[in-house]
Amino acid sequence: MSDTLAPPALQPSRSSASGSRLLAHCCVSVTVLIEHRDTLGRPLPEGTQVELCDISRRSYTARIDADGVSRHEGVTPGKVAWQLLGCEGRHLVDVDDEPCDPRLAAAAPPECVVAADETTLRAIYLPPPILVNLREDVGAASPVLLSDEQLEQLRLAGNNATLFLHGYNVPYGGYRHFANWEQRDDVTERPLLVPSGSARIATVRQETEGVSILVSSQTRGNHYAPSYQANPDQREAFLNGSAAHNWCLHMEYRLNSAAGMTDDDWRPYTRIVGVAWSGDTGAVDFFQAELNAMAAGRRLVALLSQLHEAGIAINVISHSLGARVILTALNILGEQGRYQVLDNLYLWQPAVADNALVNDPTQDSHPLGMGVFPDAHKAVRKAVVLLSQEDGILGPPPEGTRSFWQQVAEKVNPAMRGMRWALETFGADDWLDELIGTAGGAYGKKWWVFPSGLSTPIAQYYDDKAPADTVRPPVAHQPPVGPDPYGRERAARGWQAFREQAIQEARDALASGDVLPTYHLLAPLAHHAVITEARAAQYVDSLQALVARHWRAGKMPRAALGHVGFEEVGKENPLIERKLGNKTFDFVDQTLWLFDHSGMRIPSEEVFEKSYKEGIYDRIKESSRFGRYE
Amino acid sequence: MVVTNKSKLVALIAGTALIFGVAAYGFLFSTRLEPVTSLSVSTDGRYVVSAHEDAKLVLWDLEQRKREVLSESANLYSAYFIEESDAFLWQDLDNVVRVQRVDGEVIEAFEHFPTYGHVMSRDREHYLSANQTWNIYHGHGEALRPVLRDSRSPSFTGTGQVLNLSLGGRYFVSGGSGSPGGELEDSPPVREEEEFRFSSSYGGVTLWSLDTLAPVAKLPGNSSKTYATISPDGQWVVSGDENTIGLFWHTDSPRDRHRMASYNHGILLEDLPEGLEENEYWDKSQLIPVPESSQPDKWGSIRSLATPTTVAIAFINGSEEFLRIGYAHYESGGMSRTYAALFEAGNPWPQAYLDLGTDPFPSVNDYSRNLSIDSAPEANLLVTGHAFEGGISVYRYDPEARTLTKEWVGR
Repeated sequence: MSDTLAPPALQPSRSSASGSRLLAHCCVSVTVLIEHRDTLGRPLPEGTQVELCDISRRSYTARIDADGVSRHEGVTPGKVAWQLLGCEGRHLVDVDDEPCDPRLAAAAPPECVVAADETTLRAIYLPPPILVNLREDVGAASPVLLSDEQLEQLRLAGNNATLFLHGYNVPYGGYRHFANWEQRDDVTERPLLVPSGSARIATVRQETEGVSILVSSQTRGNHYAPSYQANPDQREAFLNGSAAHNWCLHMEYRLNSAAGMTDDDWRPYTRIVGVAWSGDTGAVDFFQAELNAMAAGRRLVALLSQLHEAGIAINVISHSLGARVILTALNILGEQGRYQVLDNLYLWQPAVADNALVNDPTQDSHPLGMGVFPDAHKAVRKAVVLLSQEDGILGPPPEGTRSFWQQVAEKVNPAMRGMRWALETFGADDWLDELIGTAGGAYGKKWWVFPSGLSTPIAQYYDDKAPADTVRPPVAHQPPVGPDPYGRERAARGWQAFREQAIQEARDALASGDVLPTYHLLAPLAHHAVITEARAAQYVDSLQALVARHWRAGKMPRAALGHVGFEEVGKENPLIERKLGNKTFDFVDQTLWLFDHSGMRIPSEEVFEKSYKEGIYDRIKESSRFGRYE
Repeated sequence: MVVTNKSKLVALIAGTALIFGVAAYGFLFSTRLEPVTSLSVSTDGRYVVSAHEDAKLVLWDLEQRKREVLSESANLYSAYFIEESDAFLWQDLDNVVRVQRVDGEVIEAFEHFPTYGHVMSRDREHYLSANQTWNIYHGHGEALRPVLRDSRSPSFTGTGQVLNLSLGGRYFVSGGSGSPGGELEDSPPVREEEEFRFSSSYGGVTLWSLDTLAPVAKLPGNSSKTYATISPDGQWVVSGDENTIGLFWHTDSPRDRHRMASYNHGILLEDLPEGLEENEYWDKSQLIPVPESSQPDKWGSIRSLATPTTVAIAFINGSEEFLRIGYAHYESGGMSRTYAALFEAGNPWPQAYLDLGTDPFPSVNDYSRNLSIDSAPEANLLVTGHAFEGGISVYRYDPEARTLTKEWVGR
């Protein structure tokens, strides 16, 4: 008989934690060593507590040592399971070279058999998620940078970083929990260990099918309110985080899937770098959201520089108004002479003007010069626009897509159009987006939709900043008597003061020596690194002219880049045509398969195949990498 | 009494009209065709065979101006006329491929996988077919042999278009998506399944030998959805893509890539450093004016009515001239980009812009239907499907006047 099959040595009887005596023959004890590493080979942080549960449901807690090992002594032979206490985002993907689904492992941790005297288990976890918070409310003064550990994580994971920037009206949000064993249809028995605390926090996407979640109705008074099964939208909200967190975990999962990861084996899973910014200004204040986007873009410069200087390849995916964040950062980098910092830029349904990437500022249609990022193209090797004319937010759908009879019916009876609007709006997945969209669209909220579209947000913005009688013109005396009855002189003085203050702000910023000073009066020009005095004066002149024209813009508006792509711009701007010709600019027309502005968050099979795989991943692969995927 | 009779008469007439109306509508409805998904013109320009979205197969006689529905279960991408022959290929939904004469005689029939585009040489020696995942096979049945089978991607599902195949001289050309990467030596076109690449080395434009069935050259430079074809004499390969890039190569020197001129800016000069004045990157010497809209569009721009975003390319005058047809949607107010650019083979400059018209709107609005555009180069004939209904438009090119005239709209 070999040693391994020999019966374990008997040990003396001992007391259990509750004081009861355990008989000697039950008290064979095992020392369990667990090596905890992440998929990048790094030991998990020293000091992290690990709770191990044995067949008798006793728990043995130990701390991970400097080598990444937790040592659990006195464990009853047989099955064990464990969980990490307080190490959020490290999800188990492999035990002893056997891959496991981290979502199942978080509901019913894998059970391993341990035998005396000592058993060593090897556990591999995902590295933690990386979410960078560029929001105004987290201390705008200090630069937002990655920690050394995060940089190391990116270095080890293929020496590249894929950033994702969400769009308009996305709050910060948070993570939610993994579905527990009772909620999963595929777990029928209570597991040895039911995870709790941080081990339940889900930082990866979960399926909303195969899960049953009971929701209790709100009780009203003494009335009994029964529980009911959550619908798919509610399950999504329970499982997959909210707001920016929700976007990031969906995007991360789909990119990994597009790169070839399957749900059977999560070991190649690569973390993206999520970037949150203050785009949630309410459904109507698109202008303020644009200013916030530019402020976030300025803050993003430090992060991009950090990655670039660390030699980490950078790819960026932005959605909707997130395009303004990244284009601001790139324009600043371009102005600073830092070229080709990004390998690939993917602008998904970008809510910026179709000529945003031209190099000629005179082609800007925006009355205040916010439309064009003339130096942005210099800071990126390749830019790909993913557009759709059917996204419902950035512009009207192409003509001729509705059937003849539908069009006739709508012509004859305008109420039909209203009905279609209502159906499309409230039948859509993201009804808020749709509601904004149909009422003119997030992009449609821009200055050109109504002649005075810019007046309210700009007046509000300058309420506590600009001199009186400027952006809010003086009101005439009633009746118009006395000196300066129409306030023209007051207005002239106000504008003169405004101009001087703006020039002073520019002068002070220059004098401060700060490479990226913060602007207040000149915030709409924040996509430029430094604003010269001349540009400041010109800006105030433009604003004064705009107010004098009752907010009517001098030039016709541009279509959104995410709606029409480069079709028109290529004709007007040879740079765009050249970039298209040498393939440093590219686009994917998704009109035939992307029917929702945010349709990539929870993609159809077609969107996944055509946009994620062929549109993004295959292109990343041409000149860069995503994680360690080949 | 008289009033009553009059009422009866009116009711009778109305009733009869209603019955006739319903009958006529029913008749029209039953004979109505869905949009064309693939079509092919006979070399002499006499016949067109088309497959439709509802799986009908239709033979059009352009001389008699009539049509005949041959089948109601045809593979959508299988209509193909064999060059210089009165026979065409089609596949039914039971996957039987037929070589059938216009008089109905079936010369050959064989079972095959569902094809997403196929071609046959005039001597019927070579049958090449692509499947959904853009693999190319030669022959059929026992003699079936893979020509390209190194990946499952790109695919019809992924890109939304078929891998376009065309025959010319002793070559054939495939083209579908982007630029073929790597060198020929490093990329065997046929691999075992376990060695499949994540993405094919031959998704872009590739020139193949019809004799060896091996790749002669990868022809890189295109981007996104790409249409490529070879001139009937096998001398020129031309390509155009979604990204606006147009390229051409002579088959004797396939390493020498030539750019077609940008319609608005001229020929992009290659290998110049960044940072020059934008004009220095372009040769504008032989640009001709691009047709423009008479009114500004809704964004205030006067727009070009010819777009280099290419959905198909068709030789229209032997191997001498071809039309590069833009991808366009119908837009009201004369804004549709329906002008095709006329090029001479081997000459990068557009020679003329010829309008395909908007009524009916040609099938230039959908990459998945780019097989619905074909030509008979010797007969100077171009035929397209329609964007929104099941007919065809037949255009005749006049090489002397360099004009394109719509000769017939078949419905």
